[in-house]
Amino acid sequence: MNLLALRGIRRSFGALEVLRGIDLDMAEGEMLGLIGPNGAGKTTLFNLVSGFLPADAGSVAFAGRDLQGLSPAARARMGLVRSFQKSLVFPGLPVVENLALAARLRLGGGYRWWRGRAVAEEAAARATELLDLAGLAGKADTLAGALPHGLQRVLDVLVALAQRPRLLLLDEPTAGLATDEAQRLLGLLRTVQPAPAVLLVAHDLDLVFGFCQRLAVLDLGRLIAVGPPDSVRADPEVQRAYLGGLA
Amino acid sequence: MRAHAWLLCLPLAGLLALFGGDYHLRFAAEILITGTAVMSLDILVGQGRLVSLGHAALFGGAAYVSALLAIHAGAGLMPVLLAGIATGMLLALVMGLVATRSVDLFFLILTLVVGQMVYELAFHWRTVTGGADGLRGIPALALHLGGASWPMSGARSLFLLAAGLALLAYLLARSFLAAPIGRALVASREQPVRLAALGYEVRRLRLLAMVFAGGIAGAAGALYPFVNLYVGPNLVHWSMSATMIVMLVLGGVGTLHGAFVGTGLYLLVQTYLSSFTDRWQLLIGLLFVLIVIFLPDGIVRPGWRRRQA
Repeated sequence: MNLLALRGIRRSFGALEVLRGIDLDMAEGEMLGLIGPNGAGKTTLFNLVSGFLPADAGSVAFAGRDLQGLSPAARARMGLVRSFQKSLVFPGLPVVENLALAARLRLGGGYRWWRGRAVAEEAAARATELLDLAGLAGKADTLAGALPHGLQRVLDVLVALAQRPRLLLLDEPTAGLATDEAQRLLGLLRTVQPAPAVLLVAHDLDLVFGFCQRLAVLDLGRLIAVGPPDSVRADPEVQRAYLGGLA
Repeated sequence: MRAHAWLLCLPLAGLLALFGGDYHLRFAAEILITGTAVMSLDILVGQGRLVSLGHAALFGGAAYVSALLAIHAGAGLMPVLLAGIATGMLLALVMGLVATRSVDLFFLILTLVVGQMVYELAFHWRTVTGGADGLRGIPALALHLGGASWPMSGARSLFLLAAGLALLAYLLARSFLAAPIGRALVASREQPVRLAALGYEVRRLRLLAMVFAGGIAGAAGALYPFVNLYVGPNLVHWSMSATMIVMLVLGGVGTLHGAFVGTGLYLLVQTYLSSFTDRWQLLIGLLFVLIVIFLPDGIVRPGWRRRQA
């Protein structure tokens, strides 16, 4: 069974048809890159899958369940977690609390009116594990808003991972990062346990081609190619529409 | 002022309890009770950025219920306190169900509307609430336990009761804000969209915070009639909510203890300056402007904010 199954997804804004019948499947643990020129509909697709935007037509199924009518929060609790183009950490909370906040919800203690030792300890352990993995243990007590841009982007992804997602939608997580920083960040996704499936949007094509097992290419609201990096790179339509025939 | 500087207040409160006259003890009790309600508003404003113009309805609504129970059923301390808490929470739940669909300006307006519905009820339901005349003749408060009864209507008893309530409410509020729900409330203020993307129902969080704050405001409202000896519709009017916001800003938003300081300052100015001039609200306004300009974080967090270049 596919972890994610999109069927016939359509979405328009007024007369502008942004998504024109998207069919896409993702397997458990898979890393899929979603690429396409600006305005291709990548972020709109993210918004539809994560529930921030309703589709005009089509269905989104996650782990065999139709997500129709479910709020973004309900989808996230099922394990479908997303990040945003702009890094959205909680600036007034310490780094460790940013992570614990996400971990606590997964452990069922997000709304508690008391501290609850067991949940607090498990959430702290998850936060520490992720900070160690990212080499940020020394920043645990720093306010997230005081971190430099690059570290905020890393924290942004760590917060999503702290929730232990089954599917992680990452919308340009490497924007503004140097190549080595971007590689380290994506490397995290391979080492973290349990490893989630990742739907990755990024503009650095070398990075996407290097990290993802499959690629999906979106152009003017249509998926024009889906497959392994080599076959996508060789696809004439992709070269014409997206790579400008330079690949 | 750091939170633990509050310990200095304990000997002061002790001295007041031992040597204070009835007038000063009642006045201090009024500050503590109103300050407790303002502190409950701080949970919403300071931590959740939920600025409510209906908070007085929770405080005043509980005061009405408490006064009615005392007048018609001779209820003692525990029943009025429990009824006040329940009233505050119930009104907060209703207000929250309406208002938490929105944030910022629309939240403000919706809390104003629900609060004014409580005001209309208090103002027009003359047979129960006394209408514009309000409720007078509040009987003396007593604590009934088993067959025994202890009068609590003296100024000293009321002061100690108010101090106990303020302390307990403060500790509860601190505990709430340190708990997962309190941290999530802060996060909802900063990045509500991201919080939802992690699986939190932001509306549920805000609703729970409102109900918790309503419970504290209700507890304070339950004691208010026995200190003030009168409950009138002005207590549930939106202008009382606005006054509570002014008190909070004067003391320091987001500090909890600043609510008591701001309330004390406001009521001192109101009480003492009003005996010299009818224009005491002008002075309050001036004080408010000066504090917003020079102490934007409130009195309890002194320090001149540097001008932005």
